[in-house]
Amino acid sequence: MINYHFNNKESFYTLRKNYRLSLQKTDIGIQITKAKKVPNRNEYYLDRTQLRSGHITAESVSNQLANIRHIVFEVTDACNLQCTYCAYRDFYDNYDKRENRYLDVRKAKLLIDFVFEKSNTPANKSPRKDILVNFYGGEPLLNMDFITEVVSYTKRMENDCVKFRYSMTSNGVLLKKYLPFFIQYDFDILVSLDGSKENDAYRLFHNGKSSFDTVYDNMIHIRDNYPVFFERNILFNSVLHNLNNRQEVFQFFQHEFNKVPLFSKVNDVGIKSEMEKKFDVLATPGQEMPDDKSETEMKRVMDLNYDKTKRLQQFIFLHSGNKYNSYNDLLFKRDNFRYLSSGTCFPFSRKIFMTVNNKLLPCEKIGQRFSFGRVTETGVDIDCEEVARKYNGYCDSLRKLCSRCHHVGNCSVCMFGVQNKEDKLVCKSFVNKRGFDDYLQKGVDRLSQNPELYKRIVEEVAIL
Amino acid sequence: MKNISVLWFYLEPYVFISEDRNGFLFYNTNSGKGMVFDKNGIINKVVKYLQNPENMYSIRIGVKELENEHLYHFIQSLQEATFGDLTEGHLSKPVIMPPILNLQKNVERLKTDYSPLNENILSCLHEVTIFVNGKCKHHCKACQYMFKQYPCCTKSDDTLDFNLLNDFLYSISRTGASVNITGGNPFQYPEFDKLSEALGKMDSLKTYIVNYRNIPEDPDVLNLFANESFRLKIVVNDSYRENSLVTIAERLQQDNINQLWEIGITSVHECEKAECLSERLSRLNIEVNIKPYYNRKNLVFFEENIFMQQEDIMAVELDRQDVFALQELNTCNFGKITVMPDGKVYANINKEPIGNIREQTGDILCRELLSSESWRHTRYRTAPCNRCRFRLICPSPSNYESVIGKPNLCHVVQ
Repeated sequence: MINYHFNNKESFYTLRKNYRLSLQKTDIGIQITKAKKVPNRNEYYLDRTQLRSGHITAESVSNQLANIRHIVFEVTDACNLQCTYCAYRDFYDNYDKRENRYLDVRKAKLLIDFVFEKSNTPANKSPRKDILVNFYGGEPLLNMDFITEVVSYTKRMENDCVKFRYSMTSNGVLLKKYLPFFIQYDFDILVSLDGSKENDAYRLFHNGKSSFDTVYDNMIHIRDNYPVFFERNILFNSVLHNLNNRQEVFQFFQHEFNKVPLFSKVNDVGIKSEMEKKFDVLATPGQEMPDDKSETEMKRVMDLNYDKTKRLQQFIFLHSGNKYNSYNDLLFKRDNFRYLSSGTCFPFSRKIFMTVNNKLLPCEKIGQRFSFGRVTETGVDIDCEEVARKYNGYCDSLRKLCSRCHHVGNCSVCMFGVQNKEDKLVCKSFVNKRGFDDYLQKGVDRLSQNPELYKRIVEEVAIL
Repeated sequence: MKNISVLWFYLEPYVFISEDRNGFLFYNTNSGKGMVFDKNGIINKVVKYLQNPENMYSIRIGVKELENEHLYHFIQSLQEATFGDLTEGHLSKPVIMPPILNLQKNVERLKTDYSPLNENILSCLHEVTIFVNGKCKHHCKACQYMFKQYPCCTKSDDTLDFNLLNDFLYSISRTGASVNITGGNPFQYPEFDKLSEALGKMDSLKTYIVNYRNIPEDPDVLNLFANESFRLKIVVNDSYRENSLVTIAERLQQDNINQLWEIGITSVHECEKAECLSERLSRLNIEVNIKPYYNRKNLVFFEENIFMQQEDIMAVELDRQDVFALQELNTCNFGKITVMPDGKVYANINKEPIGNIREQTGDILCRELLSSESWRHTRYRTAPCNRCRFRLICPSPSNYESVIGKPNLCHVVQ
């Protein structure tokens, strides 16, 4: 028996055999003998429950708040589109009711003040930093007054140490109207567009008409009149579903805009149980052509960002034991390191998200019921003890499930997306031993088909 | 088994290969053992093939080829020592990922973008040594030598401005970096009480480094060191009477002072004497370090006792992380800075200053990371070490190299 086995302690996989070939030099040449080898059962033994016993502290939450570099505002819950797969519509049950509300700029400023003041404490490990302010919705352009006020406020706050940068996620319908402002403040704008008119057919106005022509015309306008801004600041996000596929979407963006979009899947967290079947149909992308020339083109243009290469990259980073984030990670041992359950980010380590209802969350992608604080009339109310308690409580509830999973130490699942079905936690990425062995073999196969990528990925790729 | 005519030989993912013009070093981070091989036609060919990452650490070898004595010995000894293994040649090629470091926040990668380099920069700070003054009434022979080799007191004419120092300490107060305070005689620092109060607000370990002759008699002054986050490091660097030192240690112990002794030596004779003192202090459960220092007259002592032989280097047991760390950073210097009484800040006291205490600490640290003079000063960047196969496992360049003026303290490469 020969198979690949992942050594969790060292974070790399290796080959395991239950026999040994021995060489012996004799008068008639080299003799090879094969002897059975009993594998040491304890060799790869891992106490997953113990390994998954990590907890966070209130102090570490407080430290994260002093190091925030990304604020996301849900500028409004109103939208001028009514996309079929929208995470705030029929398929989902994990969001606050949409009431066409607009975020109170006064309260948004209280959050900015809070982040700014925290930045001025010694707990901030990046004395000079850029803080990215992201405007998110609904459709943020429906509340343009908010955006202009926040930009003006933050620009006035800038000093030698703290600078602000801006970005926005938009459906692009109203973009042309406010373009000079966004060019002036060097906004990065992520425009949602799912490909050609046929591909984009789920993105509809309230009257049921397609939004494609409007958005497309706006993009052409920007491309032709502000080519530098279009090149540097406009990004596209395409949701893959049953009306498109990667190849079609890629071809569309290459041909029309000479750009590569970001591909994302339809959000599968918080789906109502009665809608699951319908959701599965919608969320499954259309059939791709195995030998399509666009696939070859995609591989050439996207190079290391090609999605299949990215999967290989993820496999290499998780299972080579070669990836370290920082110099400190090289210097200090993690012998007694205890992982948290799941692969959830540390609260506020990536961003702080303020909803239109003044709730504070660690991310816009998680259900809004998982609020970790709020902005009140007088300021920001985050109880770090309470955040740690809640977070550890969620981790504890998952520990039993995670300790049976073989993705220990290399899980990328957010615990806020783990579903509770009939009082049973269900993780879509859970793997038992057999599943993990299959996964490992597939990764090795992919590597053996693309060995030339190994060195490039290890030496060139940063996923900061 | 007679039918096997071809084999796959593969190396384990925990095996590193290094080479120089004379031979190869294979190092197994699982066992902490190394093996050396001389260069030879067929071995060179096989190793070159294995070193190419595209070949995924495995090579197809005909059984007939193993009749070559060198190749047979090479394969068999690596297999015996669990550096690699064999499978039948008709099976699919073993796919093993060779150890190549991917350091995400590698400065070389980030040089083009200042912002990410600055991100979390203060978390790189691990130890700060501050010379608060230069005043001292004693005339130790070693005064101008020891402090360039490890944190230790020295005399100078300056005194560090307390307001500047206070601001600096506040800026690093949440980094967790340990702080060493020394002088001259730090007990004579005009703002000693205020300094101790400021340090008391920091959670990290604070160590006052003081010559044994400067330890105050007044127990109230020493009360500070009864607090568990403070300790007194007592330096012995000159002629001394053993009984007197033991008496000091006993007195401090009676007052519950956290104490640590460091005895500087320059010769075998001093080492023997230091060992006697160390033994007596250790009986009191006091931690003692004996540290050689170079005084410009004792190169022979260093050559005979400190310089490394090949066997010494090979005896070092390292894991994968250690080997990667030696590639990218100086494990002696990384995360350490020194502030002198004139306000100048050094990443290594033997190099040029990297800034001044008046500046933002983060800016100073970024500058050092970019420069690679101290924190990232590795054997890979220095001749002749960068041409030696043992650079893979050899300890990072230390201050001894700087003060002796020789880039390698070994007998392996001249």
